[in-house]
Amino acid sequence: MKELLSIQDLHLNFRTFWGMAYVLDGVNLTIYEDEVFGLVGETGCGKSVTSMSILKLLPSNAEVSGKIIFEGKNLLELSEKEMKKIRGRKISMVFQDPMSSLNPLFKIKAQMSDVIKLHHNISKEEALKKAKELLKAVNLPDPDRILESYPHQLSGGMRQRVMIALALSFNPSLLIADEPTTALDVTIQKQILDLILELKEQYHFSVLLITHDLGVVAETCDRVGVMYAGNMVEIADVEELFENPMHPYTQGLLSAIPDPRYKKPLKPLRGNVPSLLDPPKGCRFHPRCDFMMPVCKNKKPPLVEYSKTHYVACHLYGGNKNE
Amino acid sequence: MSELVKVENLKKYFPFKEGIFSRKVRYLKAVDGVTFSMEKGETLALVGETGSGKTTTGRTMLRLYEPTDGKIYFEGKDITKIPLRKFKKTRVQMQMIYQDPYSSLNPRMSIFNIIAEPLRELKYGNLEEKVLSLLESVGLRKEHMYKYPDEISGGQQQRVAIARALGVNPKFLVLDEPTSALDVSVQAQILNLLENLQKEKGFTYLFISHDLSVVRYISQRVAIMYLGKIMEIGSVEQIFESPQHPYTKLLLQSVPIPDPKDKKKRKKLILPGEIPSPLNPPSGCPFHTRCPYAKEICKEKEPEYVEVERGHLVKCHFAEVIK
Amino acid sequence: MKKDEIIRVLKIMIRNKLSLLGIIIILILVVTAIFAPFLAPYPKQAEGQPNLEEKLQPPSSKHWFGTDYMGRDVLSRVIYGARISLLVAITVVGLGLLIGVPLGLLAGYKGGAVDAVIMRTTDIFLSFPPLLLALLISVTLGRGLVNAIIALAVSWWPWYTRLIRGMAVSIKEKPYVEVAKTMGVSNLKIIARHILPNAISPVIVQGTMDMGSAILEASALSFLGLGVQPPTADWGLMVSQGKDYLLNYWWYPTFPGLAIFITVIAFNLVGDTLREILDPRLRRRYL
Repeated sequence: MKELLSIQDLHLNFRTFWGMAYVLDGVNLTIYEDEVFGLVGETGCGKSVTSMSILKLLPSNAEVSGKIIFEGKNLLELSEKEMKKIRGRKISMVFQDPMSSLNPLFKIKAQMSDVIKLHHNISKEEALKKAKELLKAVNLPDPDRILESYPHQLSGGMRQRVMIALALSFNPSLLIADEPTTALDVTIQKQILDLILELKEQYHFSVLLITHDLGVVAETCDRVGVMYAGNMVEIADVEELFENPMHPYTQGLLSAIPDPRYKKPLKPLRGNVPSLLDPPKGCRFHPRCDFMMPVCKNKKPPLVEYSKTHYVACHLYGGNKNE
Repeated sequence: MSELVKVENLKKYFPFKEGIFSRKVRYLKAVDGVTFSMEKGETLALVGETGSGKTTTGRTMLRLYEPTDGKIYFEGKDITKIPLRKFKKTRVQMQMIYQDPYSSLNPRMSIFNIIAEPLRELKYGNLEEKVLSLLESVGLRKEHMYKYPDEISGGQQQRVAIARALGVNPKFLVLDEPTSALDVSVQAQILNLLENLQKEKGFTYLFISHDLSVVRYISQRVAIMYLGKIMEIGSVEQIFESPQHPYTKLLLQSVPIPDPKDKKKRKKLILPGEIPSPLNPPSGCPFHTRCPYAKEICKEKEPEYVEVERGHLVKCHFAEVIK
Repeated sequence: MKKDEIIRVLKIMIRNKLSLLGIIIILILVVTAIFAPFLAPYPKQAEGQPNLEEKLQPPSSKHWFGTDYMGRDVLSRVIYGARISLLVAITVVGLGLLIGVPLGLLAGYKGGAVDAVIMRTTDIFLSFPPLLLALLISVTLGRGLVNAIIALAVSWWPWYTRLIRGMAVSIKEKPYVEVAKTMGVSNLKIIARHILPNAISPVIVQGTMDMGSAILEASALSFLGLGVQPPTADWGLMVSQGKDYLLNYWWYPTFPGLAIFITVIAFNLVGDTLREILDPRLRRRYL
């Protein structure tokens, strides 16, 4: 497998009203070509800001350090002008709320053809033709009617399809989907997720799927990264993660979610997600961890390779299992 | 067991005008003839997609909306007949827990004042003691008493909202997606808390949700709503293990399952299309536009309920035919 | 507001250079007003005593801001003018809030006919250009400081009514208000405990900025001869009297004019920062 994007030791702080927030604390991850990588975690774990850092769409009160290597270049060092060539072209993004990325005052036709025209340098007619093809590709019935509609005339699912069509218009090599189905009903969620997988086979891009829903991860992803309070705590192939979760946090998450197939007792994690203004020292999970050892309070465990397909950041596993 | 709440042919129509200048008033039939009853101490889940009318049903049952038609019995009395002025006493026994805990707590009041407010109305003696015991019964501590809502986590906010409701000794609680704004690890805490409180105090819950995994966990009976009508109602086993209505079947198929091995076993069945606008509901069976088994009769005639098993009602012309 | 929140807001305001400047100016103004008799080099002249030997002297070490047409020390009179200006600012805004806020809360919370009556009344008031209305009332009531303050307050309250009504309308839909209602809390308590505390922030901001405008408008009334009467030291009045001397004796209208200008800006600086801090959407930006 060829590496497509690699994040190395990404740190991110926000200056806020309440003080400095330590949002990302050394995140590492690699996305390979032609795979669906799921990034899971709870509110404030840093999964969304990780994707925002990739596109350098961070607010002005952010301080970033580390490396994000894409096609041999460190994105964090690129100028805004160079980023524009990557954003939307090589890396596209689909957000949770498509309404916020569409201008309510213009028809879909205008919004789509503008973007396509701008980037491909083609005439308006050609752009419209391309737009229609894209809408067909995302299984929207009656593309002509869609093009003549305003965003509010479309349902949430249709708007999300339009956003996916737009994201596809440049054959991106990476599609970042940030909670793309959270605002949608389950039946529509299923349609959109299946569509993304279908398009991925067709257009050969990788997907970075950001979600809080482990069910969605199980059904769509090839590999998964679990984040907690700004740290990557575990990365594994999806089946391995669900079958043999190693990090106590991952184990806790899996035993806390209900299963639609049968009623199983839920074992909630103790306590709450820590404040990033004053995160716990050492391993950030230690105050909630059932297996806490003295070392966890002082030393942050690094993400180590447990096997070729399984990485975990926890002192329980000491380091490389071969050692 | 005895019956606590019963709803008969409940309807809630919202009037709206076609356009700014139009005189014609039309009605949005948010709830259109809903009938069910609830035993003391049981949890009935009301499940549906956006626009199915599940929340409106819950709110109308508490007369937060005045019903357009139909009867609501609480302890045998039809509460729609009680004038609003005299309704206070009954209303206190029927409480609601909201989806977004933060918006259900006044951000300018301390936790103590939030919980004490209804107690002051009831002229409680030792407020401090009572508030503390309420906090403890939802798993909070004294140190939380003088904090403000934005200083505690979402899960703790929901606990405070529950404690406040407990203070007035309700019998019936409408839980409107009480965990959907919370993280999965916290969701399990709240679900367990709700279950324990029910066991302790014999509460009756109407659990409104779109999340079938949660419904599977918390409820004894389930009602599936679609466009203001109940399509299928039965025990949780009946609905999840032998769903009869095509909508229920497809809805269950769409639920993501947190087990990657499961996806290979399952056949791919996607519920096509989207829920039609309740402003313009389809004729006959409301589901016929998306139903793979729809026949001519479904477009023309609204199906009656068929009791396929004891307590298992299905609103479908072909309930007994489709297997 | 909670105590630590107030402290946090103050900390940010002090760290922000512009608002710190505003706060310092306002503090200086307050101190000046309180200790005017001790600070002014010629308190008697400030109270109106003429000093005709030193008519229209340019600024010098004896009279830093020069003297006016009656030989009175301009600096002393500007210092005494701070008293009138602050009095006007506080009473006008205070009275405006006293009338405007309860009416706005009532209109927003009750809705229906009550809302319609109150809001149409504010519409009538607001249909006049603000200064014109104050002018009309002032003319009707007669000259004098008290009448000017009443006139300004009467033309002022509808703005607060509108502002707080809008807030009340959105807050009364919040679940916590609904809960209070279902639990049998009375309307008055709901307004006092739930609506008012959550609706007041923008009004505080507006009120702060309005203190500057109130001083400006009171000065305008004085300038037109309707507000403060001579020989009281008032900035507006001094500008009015000094305008005829501007070409040859520039210091006479300039220093009181500058005082008005700086005070208005100071209140605006503080108000602006306050708005940014109290607006939760903007709040995150602050360190």
